[in-house]
Amino acid sequence: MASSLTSTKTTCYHCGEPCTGTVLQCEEKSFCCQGCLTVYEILAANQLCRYYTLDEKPGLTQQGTHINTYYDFLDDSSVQDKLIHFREGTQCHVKFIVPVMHCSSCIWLLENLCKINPGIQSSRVNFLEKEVSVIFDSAETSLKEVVILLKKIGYEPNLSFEDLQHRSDKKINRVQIYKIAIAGFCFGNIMMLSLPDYFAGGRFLNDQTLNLVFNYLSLALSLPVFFYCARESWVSSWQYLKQRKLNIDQPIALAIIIAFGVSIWQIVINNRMGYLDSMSGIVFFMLLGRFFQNRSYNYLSFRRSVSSYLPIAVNQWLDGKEHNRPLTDIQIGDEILIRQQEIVPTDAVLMGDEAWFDYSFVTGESNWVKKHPNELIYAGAILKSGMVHLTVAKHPSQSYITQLWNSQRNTKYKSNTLLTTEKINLYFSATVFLLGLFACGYWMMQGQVQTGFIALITVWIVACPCALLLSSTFTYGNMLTILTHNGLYIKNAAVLEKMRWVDALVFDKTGTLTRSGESEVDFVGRDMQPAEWQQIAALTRRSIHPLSKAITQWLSIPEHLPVEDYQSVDGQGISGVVQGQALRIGSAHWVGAEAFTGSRLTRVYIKIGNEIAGFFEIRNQYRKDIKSILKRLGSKFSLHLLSGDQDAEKKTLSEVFTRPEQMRFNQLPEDKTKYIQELQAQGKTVMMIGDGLNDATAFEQSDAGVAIIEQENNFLPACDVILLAPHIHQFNELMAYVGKAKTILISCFVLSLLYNIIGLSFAMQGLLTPVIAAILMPVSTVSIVGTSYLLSRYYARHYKLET
Amino acid sequence: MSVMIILIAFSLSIAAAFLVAFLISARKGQYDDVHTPAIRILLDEETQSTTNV
Repeated sequence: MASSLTSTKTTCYHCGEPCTGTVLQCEEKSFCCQGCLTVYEILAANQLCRYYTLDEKPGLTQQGTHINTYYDFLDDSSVQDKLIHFREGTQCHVKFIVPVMHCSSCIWLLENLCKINPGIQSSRVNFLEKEVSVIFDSAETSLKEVVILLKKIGYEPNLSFEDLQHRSDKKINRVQIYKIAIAGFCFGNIMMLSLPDYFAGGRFLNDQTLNLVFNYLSLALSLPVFFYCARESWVSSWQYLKQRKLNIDQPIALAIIIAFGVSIWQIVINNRMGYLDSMSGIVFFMLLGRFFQNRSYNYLSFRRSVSSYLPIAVNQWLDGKEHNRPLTDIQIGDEILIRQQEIVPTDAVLMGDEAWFDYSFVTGESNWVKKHPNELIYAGAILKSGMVHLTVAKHPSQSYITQLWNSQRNTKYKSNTLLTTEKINLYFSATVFLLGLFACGYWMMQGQVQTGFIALITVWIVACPCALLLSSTFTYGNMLTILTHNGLYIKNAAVLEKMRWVDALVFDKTGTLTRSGESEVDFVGRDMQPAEWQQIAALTRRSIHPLSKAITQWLSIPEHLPVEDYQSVDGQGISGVVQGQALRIGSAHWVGAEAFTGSRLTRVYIKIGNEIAGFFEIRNQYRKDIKSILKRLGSKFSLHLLSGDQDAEKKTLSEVFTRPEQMRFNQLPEDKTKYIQELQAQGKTVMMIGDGLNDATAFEQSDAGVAIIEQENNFLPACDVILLAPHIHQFNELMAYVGKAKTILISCFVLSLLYNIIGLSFAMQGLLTPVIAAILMPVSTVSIVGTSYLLSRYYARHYKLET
Repeated sequence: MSVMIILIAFSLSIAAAFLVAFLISARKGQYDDVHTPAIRILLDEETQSTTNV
């Protein structure tokens, strides 16, 4: 058996991954594949080997990447015009998104492109945006050469259909920074000018002119805060007010208006300092809190459209010749060429011979599908057999996958619902409003109109809901940051809050519970000689079919034997002669064995000479410890499984998904969506966990859609949450941590209520002076922010999460 | 005490100058990418000569 064979434990010098199968040697360094070796050779030839010393394991494996990608479309001037965003003479400026960049070595290499290709004048990296800005001289090199260079050194840029449609020069939102800076400046200076007023109630300055100057200067400084910095609050509260709805900005807007109005009245009529310091403080802290909460993880974009998956150009077959055309120019009825491993860009009819397609992205079915001539092929399928001709049946923007993508859009307004904390805030504001009126009424009845009026106003100012607002913004902000460190990326606070209520988890199988591209292999048959294993490995190594690859990997035989008469028939198998021994490996039909229908597992038969020696049984490889993870989750949530695959694995999975109705196979994307709808109709809050584009509508339907991805640079479907696959073992802890948000928030609320009670008790007696307001404001803010910070760290440590 | 007015005006104008300096630098994009320069500074000893074309 294979276990008795020696397996080499070398790691690749370029990517650091263990070398399975063939090991390539070069200058006493080992490489796992030709791709990694090529990258090393290019770097070595250009004295760029410092790349390997800057960071540990900087390279990414080049296994499975295909050199045969065609970049001829980059010579097309209409494509160039859309990609090059600035041109001056022969100097061209172009920006590429390079999703695979991940460490300082990447930055170093990408900024040294000019050493490899002198036609490149400079290259700059924006790491968080995963962007490289390249300036090159079109007289010396071309766009195509630059892209091919990037591809060769393992940093393939992301060129997609989306780029062609609208090259969006993303404007970074700097307005928020301006507002914080201005509010901070005004707040600080008003505080300074209010200082005399804190002591001895303004009588400290006997000089009337000085008093006047201080007051009016503060008023002048507060104008930009009121009219510019707080603008968002006005706009959003007014919009909601028009729809007769409540939102979080309204109580804040009210507090700001009251503080500002009262201050003007105080300054102009009474020649006394008002509450301008408190007002600008409210605005400053509010903006700061929002900045922290919105600090987005911009390198993960959650809303990518399907078009970013489609290629940028296609080969059109016209008058017996190949022409490169941007995808946007393709019309119905055009004939296009698709080569092996290329994506079908739009719904099209197959012409000529039958062909095999990988439909996993469209339907979730992981086995390849055979298509006959004149059958419709959906966009998103990947061609697995040789080159085919297709006739375009639908415009790319109308294809099935685009429809699927768009069908559920705009049906759900996840982010428009109020957070619980915001609801509490509204109740709190209403209470304060009434308390103010009550205090005012009480003093009026006592005949003290002046005190009543002061009590009314100060109650409204001091009990500003800003402390409550801050506690939620900072708590969610802290938690989102900590979760990000642990590989869980959440779109926004609303999703985080929704996740607390989740009681049903729906899993997709392929790529979620199993690892895509890895399988478990078993051999059933007679005892085999080591020499025979070597012969089999020699043959399977020649084929790129995933089943052959799985077998090659399982055998892990380092020696390379030559193969003669190699033959490969799509969908059937391979044959050849190794060391004089004729071998056939493939389907039952291929080797002439009796087809076996009892088991649903994929079988690969082996025929040595005239004897059928046995067969490999290949099943999906589950993620490590997935069963124990699911079992632990099962104690808190109800688990469901929806798979696009056949039910070959039903038995294995029934250990975890105990009730048969919780498992469904052969599910189309529509079925998944419907199943989630049914669960929601039963009053459940559903979290959908999947991986591919075929889950997109299910993600939309669910209350929280979690996409599991192998690496940050993978294609991201529209989802609410992204979980990096290496962190899946922590899923239980992460969910528990999310649940702790409530505890942290309550603690902060209690604290801020305490401050409010103190403040209110002063205010209701009409004793609240500006100095008390000025002390209470920052003290409460700082202690609440601190509490939320410490508690969110404490719980992270409690669940053994990285902080 | 009227010297206070001059001092206040002085201090305010200095603070305002810093604010304007900050706003200009933010507008020129100095705060758009705060991550890469932090890494780049550790790398560039030998790249300097070649990138300045």
